[in-house]
Amino acid sequence: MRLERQRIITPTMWFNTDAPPLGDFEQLTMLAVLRLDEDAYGAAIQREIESQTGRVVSVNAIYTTLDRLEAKGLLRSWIGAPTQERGGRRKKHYALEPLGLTAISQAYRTIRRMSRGLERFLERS
Amino acid sequence: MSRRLVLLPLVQWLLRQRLPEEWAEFVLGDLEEEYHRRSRQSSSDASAWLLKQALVCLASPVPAASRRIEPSTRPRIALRPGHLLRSAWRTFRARPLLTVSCIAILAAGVGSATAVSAAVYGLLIRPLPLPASERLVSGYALREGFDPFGTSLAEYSAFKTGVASFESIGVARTQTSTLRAGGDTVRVQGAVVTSDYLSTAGVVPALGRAISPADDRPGSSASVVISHSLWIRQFAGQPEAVGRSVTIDGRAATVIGILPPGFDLPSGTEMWMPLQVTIDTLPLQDRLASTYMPLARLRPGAAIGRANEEIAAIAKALAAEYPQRRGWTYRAIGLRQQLIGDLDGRTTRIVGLVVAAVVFLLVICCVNVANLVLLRAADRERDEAIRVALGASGGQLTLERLAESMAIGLAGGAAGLALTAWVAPLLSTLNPVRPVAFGPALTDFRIDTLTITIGASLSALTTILTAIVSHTPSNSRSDVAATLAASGPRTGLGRARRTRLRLLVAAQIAVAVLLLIGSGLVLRSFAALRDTDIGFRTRGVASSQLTLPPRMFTDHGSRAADLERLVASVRNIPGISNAGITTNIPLQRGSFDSFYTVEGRPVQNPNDVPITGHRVVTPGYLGLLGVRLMQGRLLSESDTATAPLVVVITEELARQACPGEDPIGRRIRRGRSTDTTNPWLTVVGVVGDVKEDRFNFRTDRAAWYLPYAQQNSSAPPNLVIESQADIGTLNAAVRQRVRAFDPDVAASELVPFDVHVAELLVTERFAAVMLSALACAGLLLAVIGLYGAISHIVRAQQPEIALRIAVGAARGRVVGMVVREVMLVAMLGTIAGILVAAVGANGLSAVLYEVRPHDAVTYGGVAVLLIVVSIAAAFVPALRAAQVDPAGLLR
Repeated sequence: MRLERQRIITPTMWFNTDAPPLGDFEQLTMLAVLRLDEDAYGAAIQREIESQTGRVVSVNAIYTTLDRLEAKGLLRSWIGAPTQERGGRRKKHYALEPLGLTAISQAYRTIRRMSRGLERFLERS
Repeated sequence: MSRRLVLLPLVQWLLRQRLPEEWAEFVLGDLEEEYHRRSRQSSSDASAWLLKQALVCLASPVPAASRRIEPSTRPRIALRPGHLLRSAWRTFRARPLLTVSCIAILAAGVGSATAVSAAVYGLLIRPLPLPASERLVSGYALREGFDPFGTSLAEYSAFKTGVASFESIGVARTQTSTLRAGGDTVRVQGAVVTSDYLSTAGVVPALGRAISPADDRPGSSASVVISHSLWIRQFAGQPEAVGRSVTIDGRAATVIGILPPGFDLPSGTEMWMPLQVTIDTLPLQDRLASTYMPLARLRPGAAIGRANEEIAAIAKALAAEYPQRRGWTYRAIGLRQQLIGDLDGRTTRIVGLVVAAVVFLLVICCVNVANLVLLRAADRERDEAIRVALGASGGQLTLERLAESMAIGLAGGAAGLALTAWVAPLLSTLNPVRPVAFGPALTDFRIDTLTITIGASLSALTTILTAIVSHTPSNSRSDVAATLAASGPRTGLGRARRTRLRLLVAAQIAVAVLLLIGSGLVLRSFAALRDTDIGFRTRGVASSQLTLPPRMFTDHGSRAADLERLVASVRNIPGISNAGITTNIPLQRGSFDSFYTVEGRPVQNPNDVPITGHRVVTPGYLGLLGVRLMQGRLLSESDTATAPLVVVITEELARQACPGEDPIGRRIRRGRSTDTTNPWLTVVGVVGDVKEDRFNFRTDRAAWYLPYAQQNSSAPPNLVIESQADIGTLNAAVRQRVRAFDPDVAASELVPFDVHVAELLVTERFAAVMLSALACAGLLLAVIGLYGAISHIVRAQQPEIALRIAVGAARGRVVGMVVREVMLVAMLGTIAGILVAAVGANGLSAVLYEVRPHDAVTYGGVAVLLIVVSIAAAFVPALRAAQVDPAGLLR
């Protein structure tokens, strides 16, 4: 029997808790929002992910993910003021909802628990 | 700098077309901000980055801005069509053969069903090209045991004044006439009509005018309305044709109008001439001659049943007035029914049977596809369990499966419609009916908006049906572990799924058995009809209708002599071995009948008026026809005008006229017992029954044969020839002889008797061909379904089989196991099918001939066929099972 094409399985997905499990890219996005605090908006999140992980991500992917996380009730958003360098366009800011914080900390705890004792392998490679 | 000026607005414009409105402002703002930031470091890098961002945005599917939903532990169900399409495409890529099979099966089902719908619509529903054609009715007279008759002028005038349901009524009498326009004489199917015939039909001349009451008055100048086709053929489509003088049967007439294309009522007519009689002053015999075809138009809202009640009341009054009419009934039927010869509803029933068969086939197709989809679902069970574990919801998976079924259904439907475009014209070449008029309109099985709508609805229906049948409840998360454990590569097929597969396959087989039994019964009935002893030879015999000029009808003696000369001349044509003349070709529409009286046997009941088929023939005709002589002799050359008057009768007439006596030497006479004007005729021979009637093909009728030399007959004679040569090559020679004999005599094309007979059974043949084709398709699909399911079960059971072989089971036992599985399913389906067929078959009895609805041969044959075919289908999977390598598989 064939498996579906290889999928990335994140350990958090195996837990059935109040907060929905997060995908890999969802986790990155949530962490970026958390890091940027009040200044989390599309371009900044994109920059943050790129500078921290080296992954060049498309603005399209960012917004799709942000939108999905917001729909799941993990993020909230508000509209900022227009700026000159954006051609007079407004920003859309994001921040974590309490459920979002639960979800991301759950993911973090899982990875930490799973990697406990494996530091000598994980940190070397 | 200039590039920057162009690139950014361009990218922004492009993305604005693509992005959801809610996002556009923020995304474009972000892009611009980031682009400016990057440009400060490296302009080229920034441009490359921007381009890449644009490309990714354009290449990825259009994201739909989501609505806010309540926080939930389940991910949102993807309702986006793009996503569903992609998932359908992915499954197609995974098993292309399976998908193509599904599409092909659905296409076959939808295509055949749509093509049959197109045929049914054309034959039975599509309005005729006449205004309010649904209100047009025709009618006929019935007398126990005889072909339907036409109407007489006496009935016409009674109906015209007495039937309130009729808005108007007209009558027509068909006749073959010779038309001379310019130098050319041609034979044309014509009709004399009352002035209200064409107006009742509602046809308006394309050129000139219709026949007016003034034209129809006796003594008016002769006028004629011609058909569009005749106008094109004989007058080269010139408008000046209107007003031209032509000669019809030797009489001058003026062309007054040209009808629009397609109109040929009452039966392939091309020329309409006014009747020009005053009915009340006609001799009684002419007034009561039942040679007219009525055409009436019901008042808006009037029902044909009501009209029939009024007609019955009038028939009663007529019977009181004319004793000759006792025992006659009249019936009005829809014009369409009359045109397709569906007097007793047999055509409608046969068409209904084909529709039922096609519905059954469609059901088999749906079940078959559902079966295949289910097999694939079984294959994917593990994948889906994993996806559920990864967070996919059951709804999402159901939606994906639905999308898949839908995609298959749509593709199958589209392919089916394309197939229809090819099959529907093929159906019309199968000639399900031979309409007497409006043939092209009735047998036009074209693809139009309606057909496409039907096809689309059918494919929607099959899609839904397939989706319902193949639906399996989605895995809930709690089942995931169980499913994963149960669906590993080393375990067999789940019990529930296996039962369902078996039931589906059995259901297909049951429906296929139904189809096979139905078509088997119809085929056997058709074979019985075809093998019916019609009492005469059809091979190597052909006939041509002669149209004689009126002057030849003035003297009977000279006409008989002339025709004898013509027969002798035709007989001399190389390749023709025999020739003769008769007033009636067997099994043709229209028959001449006669009352008769037997000497010394007065009729007991005055209402009982014996009638016999009346055929006036030359001596060679009966021998040529190959009738069986049972007693006495056939007619001979010695039966001249001056010899004693003789008659040859059929067995049926002998039975009716002289029951239990030797008919030879008995005397019999034309007319009722009160009518003594006709001379007595001596019976000199009895011949076997000849099937004479087109509509009562199943019954024998009384008929007699009289020598042409002794009997004056005004009926148009038919020249019949016998030849082993190709009939087509003789046509020119025969016509040339006829022309040389008398240029005013026209001869129609020679038509082989085989064709006459074949035409009789067109509807039965259509049913036989269609049902056999549908039943074969049904059987094939059911067997494919069986094969697919068994191979799948065997594949799924491989570990079990391997284990059995490993612990010492003989391979023969493994084959037995698979065959047993197949037999179980096949027997289940066959028994169910036979039971249902046995219950439903009584509905078929109306279309069966000499075959009982519970014909044991058909039922047994179908059961044996199914079992043989099932074993054949099991062969390959069984062999594969026996070759399982236990070591390899268990390793």
